[in-house]
Amino acid sequence: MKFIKHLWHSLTHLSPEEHYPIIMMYGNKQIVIEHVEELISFTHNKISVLCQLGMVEAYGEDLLILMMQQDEIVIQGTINEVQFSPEKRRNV
Amino acid sequence: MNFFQLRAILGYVTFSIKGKQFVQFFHHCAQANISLWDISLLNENEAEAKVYTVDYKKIKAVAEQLQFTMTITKQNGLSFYMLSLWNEKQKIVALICSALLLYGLSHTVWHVEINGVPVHLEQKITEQLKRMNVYRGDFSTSRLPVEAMESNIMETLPQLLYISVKKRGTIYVVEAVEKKQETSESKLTPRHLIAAKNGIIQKMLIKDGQAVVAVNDFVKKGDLLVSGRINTEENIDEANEEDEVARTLLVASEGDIYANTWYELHVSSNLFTTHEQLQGGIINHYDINIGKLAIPVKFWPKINFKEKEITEIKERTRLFNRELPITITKRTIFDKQTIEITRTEDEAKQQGIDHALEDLHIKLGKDADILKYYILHEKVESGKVKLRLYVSVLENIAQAVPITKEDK
Repeated sequence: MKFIKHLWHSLTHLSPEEHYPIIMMYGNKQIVIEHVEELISFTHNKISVLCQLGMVEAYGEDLLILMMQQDEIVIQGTINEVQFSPEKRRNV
Repeated sequence: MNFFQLRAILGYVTFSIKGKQFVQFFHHCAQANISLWDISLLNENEAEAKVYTVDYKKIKAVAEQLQFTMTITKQNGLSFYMLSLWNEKQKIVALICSALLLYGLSHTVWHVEINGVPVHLEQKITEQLKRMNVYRGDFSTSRLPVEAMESNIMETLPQLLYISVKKRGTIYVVEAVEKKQETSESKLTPRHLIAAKNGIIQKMLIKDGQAVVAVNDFVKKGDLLVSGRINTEENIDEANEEDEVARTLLVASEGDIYANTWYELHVSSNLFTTHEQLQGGIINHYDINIGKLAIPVKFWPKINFKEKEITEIKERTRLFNRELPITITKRTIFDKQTIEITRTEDEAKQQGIDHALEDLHIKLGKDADILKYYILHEKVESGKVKLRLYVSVLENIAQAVPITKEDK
């Protein structure tokens, strides 16, 4: 019973200490990134966002920000590449 | 409610932001929990985005703080539409005037048509309709329903046999039929009058026929009182002695035979009873009902009555001939008090007797008179006074029966 509880908890609860960026892609037309801390750059070809554990960069053509909230961003356009760089962190 | 509906209701602003490093501006907006969408680049130093109208002041403050130039390019949503409409007041005035005019026209009587009656009755019906605000050109928002109009006219004009009032949009069509009074002579056939009940005859008012009984005679139910067969001297002389039928004249007996009759009544009257009394406090509340949805329009003052009696009147709104799915409900709340009454034995007895005599009088008709009553037996049982009454009544006991061929 304890094992099942532990398994269920591990499946349904992400560790609050680890703010991984959650990335969802809808084909190559839309990308949703959660746990965003800051928008770093925004051009037609590249959008970079900083998360706690690294930087996410989306490369493509005709990129625009479909929606932007406190910790979430939706990018739209023709996405060619998504890159995650864990070494690029905010200097605390 | 989805995102697009929310946008339409709240309203949103499309703006352009100009300055170097405008990503800072978007970062500050995100920090301030301001939602932005459709952010696109116009050129290297300029971007366009959309924001809710409610957040516009916040975003303006951010732009001023970071020294960015902000320009509104478009405003969308219900709030802006309402604002633009408000700026064009003539449209609102025209809309209200049109609605009022339409309402006025739909509640005005444009024509009243009366069919099926002679001129003198038509005039009387027209007068009655006028009293009920139904005449050409009358404007009224609350008229009686057609059923009430029909019953009102029938009460005031007893010479009518039938009336039908129909409302077709703004036109009233009245169809009526006059009673044709047939002569009583043609209707009445030869008949006897017999006793409908046992009794002692007190008075006789005979219009036609030959009396068989006299005052102070005791008659039983079914006894012949007035005969419709009259033997005349002329007939006896003229007719053949063997032909009895030829010597008799058959008439329709008419008249009233009043007799003293008796009834035994069993009466039961409560010693303890409750009585509901309205105290005079009245509150009217109004609701508008659209389907099952009730929107209170007037819901004040608050009801502070300990006990209340509520009546509801529902009125369907109409536009020309069509009933709208909107009902106006008038709810009248009366202040009520329930009083417990304890009666003495005499009071309960008297009340029981009064009610019993009144009931008997209603049952026998207005021509009957209650002469006297006697209490045969009385007892108190289970909080009730139980009585057995003997009532003496003066009533018309004559009952017409047709003379059959066998009688002839």
